[in-house]
Amino acid sequence: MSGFLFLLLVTPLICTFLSCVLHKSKHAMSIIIFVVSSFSFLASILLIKGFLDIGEHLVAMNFLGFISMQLEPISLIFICMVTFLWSCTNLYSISYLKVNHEIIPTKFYFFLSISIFVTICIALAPNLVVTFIFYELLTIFTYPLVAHIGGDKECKSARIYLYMLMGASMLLFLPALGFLLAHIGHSDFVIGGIAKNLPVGSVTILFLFFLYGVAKSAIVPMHFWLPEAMVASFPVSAVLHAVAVVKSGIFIMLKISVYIFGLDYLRSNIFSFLDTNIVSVLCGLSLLISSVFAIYQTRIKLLLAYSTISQLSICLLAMSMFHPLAITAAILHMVSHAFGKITLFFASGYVYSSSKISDIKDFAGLGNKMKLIMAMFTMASLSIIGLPIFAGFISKAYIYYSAISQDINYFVLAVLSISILITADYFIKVIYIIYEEPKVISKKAEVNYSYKLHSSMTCAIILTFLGLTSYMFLYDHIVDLMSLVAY
Amino acid sequence: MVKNLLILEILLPILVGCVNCLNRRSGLIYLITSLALSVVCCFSIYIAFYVFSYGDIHYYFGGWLPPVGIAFKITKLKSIFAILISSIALLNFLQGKSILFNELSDARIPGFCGVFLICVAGFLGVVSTNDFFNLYVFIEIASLTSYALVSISSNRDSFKAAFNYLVIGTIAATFILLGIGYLYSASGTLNIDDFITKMPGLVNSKLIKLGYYLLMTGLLIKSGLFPLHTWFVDSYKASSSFVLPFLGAVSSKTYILLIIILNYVVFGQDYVSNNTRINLMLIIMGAVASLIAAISALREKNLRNMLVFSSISQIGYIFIAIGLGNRVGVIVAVIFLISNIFAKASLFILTSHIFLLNKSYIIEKLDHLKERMPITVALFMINAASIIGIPVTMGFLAKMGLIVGLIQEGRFFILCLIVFSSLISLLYIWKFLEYFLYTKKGSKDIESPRFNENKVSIFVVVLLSSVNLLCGVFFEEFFVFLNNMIF
Repeated sequence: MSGFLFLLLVTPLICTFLSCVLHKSKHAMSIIIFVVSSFSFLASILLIKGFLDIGEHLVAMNFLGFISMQLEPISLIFICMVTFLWSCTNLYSISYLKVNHEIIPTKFYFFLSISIFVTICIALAPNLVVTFIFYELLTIFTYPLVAHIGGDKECKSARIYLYMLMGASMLLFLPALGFLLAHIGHSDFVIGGIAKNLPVGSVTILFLFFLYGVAKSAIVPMHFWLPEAMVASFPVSAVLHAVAVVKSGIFIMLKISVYIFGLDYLRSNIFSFLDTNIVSVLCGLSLLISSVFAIYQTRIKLLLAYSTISQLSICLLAMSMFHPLAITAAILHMVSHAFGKITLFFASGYVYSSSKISDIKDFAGLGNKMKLIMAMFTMASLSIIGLPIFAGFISKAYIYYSAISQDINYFVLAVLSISILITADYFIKVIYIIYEEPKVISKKAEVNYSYKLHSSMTCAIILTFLGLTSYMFLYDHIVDLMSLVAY
Repeated sequence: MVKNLLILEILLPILVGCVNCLNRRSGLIYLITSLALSVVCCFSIYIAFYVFSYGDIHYYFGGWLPPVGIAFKITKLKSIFAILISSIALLNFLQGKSILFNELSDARIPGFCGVFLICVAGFLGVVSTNDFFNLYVFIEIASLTSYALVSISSNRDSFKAAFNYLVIGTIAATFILLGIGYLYSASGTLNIDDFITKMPGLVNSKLIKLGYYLLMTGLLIKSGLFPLHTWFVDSYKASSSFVLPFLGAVSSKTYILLIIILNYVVFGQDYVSNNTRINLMLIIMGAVASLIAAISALREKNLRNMLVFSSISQIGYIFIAIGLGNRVGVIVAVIFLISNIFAKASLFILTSHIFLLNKSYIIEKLDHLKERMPITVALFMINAASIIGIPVTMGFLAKMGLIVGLIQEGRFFILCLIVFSSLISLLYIWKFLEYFLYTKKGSKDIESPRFNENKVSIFVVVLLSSVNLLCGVFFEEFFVFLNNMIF
């Protein structure tokens, strides 16, 4: 068991090391790093198995004998998702880096691997202080990836990225953490929560401080960094700004509600009116605003970014119901969105590297030129919308189920339905453009298209797409694992 | 034996310093001075080991027992600071050889080395003495030599700045002397331990109160708290880049250490909080200092001036921590002192080498410094992170502790100011780092060959930064150590 933990933590570090050592042969570096990184996924699967064998809710572990770590179902699911998609991204990058020469492979792999390491550490942290430390480190290590090309535009975007994330954590997250430490004395993750004796009326404010302080979850006034982060290359956007970074924000919020406050305590103490609590209202607002923003985007990456923001808000909205089923629903949606969004990013990165297209209107006619990739793009967007048989359908259905199962939460139902309609609007628009005949053939649309050149990218897209479609078999396991969480 | 080390530690540099002034061979003088400093450093380390294993050391001059004779006493806290002072002096002296010989003509070096040694002796004396009047004498020795060190520079402003420093410093010294006079007339003793035993009977004495206020005023001027900081800015801006790492890191911090000892040991927190309003004053002035100095630093385009203002801002934090008046406060203040000594010494050392190679402190001239001095920039980033308070540095521990302490005392307004000023510290440091890392549009593409970075200075800064990071990583052990050291 501790061997698997060691393997899990060491794999990204080995990749970091390899990226420094193998700088002479870039292609070999990509392939070796992909092979090594897939071991981390293996390790996380084995770790889940070991966890199930032990059969406890929280398992304290030691790394190298003195660094304490903690395993519990939410973090295991999170780690499993991150490591799988990370290895997919490494597969994807093999040919992406061959085609796009502006990316320096050593720097790319170095910071990507170390960011993944930090993300795994966030998941394994035994208390909120350690979580905070790694949360800040994640911001620092992803900064060079955002500012990778180093032009003026990238610099400005990366600056906003850093200021927003760090500013929010300094202004809100750290004081909230300090409040917790000052009143309780520790910040360990404990079953049922530790925040029982807080001053009256401070619970709501404290929770809101956390909600907005963890700006990586991109709730609306704190979301500006995410569209800015899209200046990064496609693999980075795919694995970090659709999966690791943003999902670690959601993950921390889930941990805070389950293990710091405790769901029952939150349900009875968060300020609410008409059976709807304030957190739901704020997340719902965030969801609607970001969905509306997404309609007006003309560049594919920005569209995907705003769609990510709205889908993250759905996770938070599900969480804001504060009962066990809702937490499971949030986790399910987190995973399903990760698979869907990474497929979309991979596919549009494929388009970009073969023809440098980034505007949505230039996608016209691509449906006939690169049939396989566009078919998968289409199905991934259908999954994000939430159409049946795809992953998004299952998770959204589960959110509906959790909203109805206790006392019916009309607010969540209404907001979620509206958002699905808006999401359908902007994604179907894109799909329509893809399959329509181009009216004017722009110069950019000269597609340099060959399977041979992009084979690893195609493989990676197929892999994540398989994850997307096999979610109906997978989600059962996630629900089973989540049933082990003690509230 | 070990008792004699206590006085040898101070006599040796004074004697060597005086002999230095008679000699004319600058190379030899440099060698002798570094030898003397390393001997002093070894002495202080040995003394600290002794103190930590066997308890406080007392030394009575000429065998005259206190309260009649003059006594030295070194406790755990003081011994650590003696190590810091002597080791920073030694490291600064070793790394700065190229700067020293570059800035000063050969004829001035013997005198300079002599003054430097006497200054180190003065600060060590301030730390180790246990007698009020002796304290004043050592403060004067340290101050007079500091004025001289500031004035010895190739910069023309340095004379004016040193004169300003002299005038204000003398006023402060007069306050200190007056205060000591009142304390003596009220208590009838100059020995600090004796004074502590007589203190309970003198709580209501007006003279004690007056003496306390005068002493504090003098020390506050010397340590550069906000409205009294102008000398600090002028003299540090003008001083030679060789002495700045030592003066900037050590001088005002020693006086702050004295204030901590006065407030928490000599007068005791009971007296300070019940009979005076100094705590409130320190908190308010500290908060204003941290905010205003941060804003001034934000407007600076000169690297060194920015660091000087950031020092003032950090001093503001330390005084807030001192003003908290509880256990958390004193621990946080000490962490702040130590982290500041490490971080500021390294930053000033790096800055002086940046100036030596680039011939400028101005931000635009330092464009894309990463290409020219990669290791320097990397080390600069680590220490800047400590100043901002980013995790896994000592600066983060200090900031976290300060926030917890402020919340425990219920001072939420000050908390807001602190959080904002730490956000501004991110902005002003990042402004420079961005120039270091990336090319700006306006600047020409200068041919940027890689400079030959000074190996000794890199080694010294690596040493200081690794201590900083180690304390940040193993923070639990560090807290245990501090608790053992202070209480």
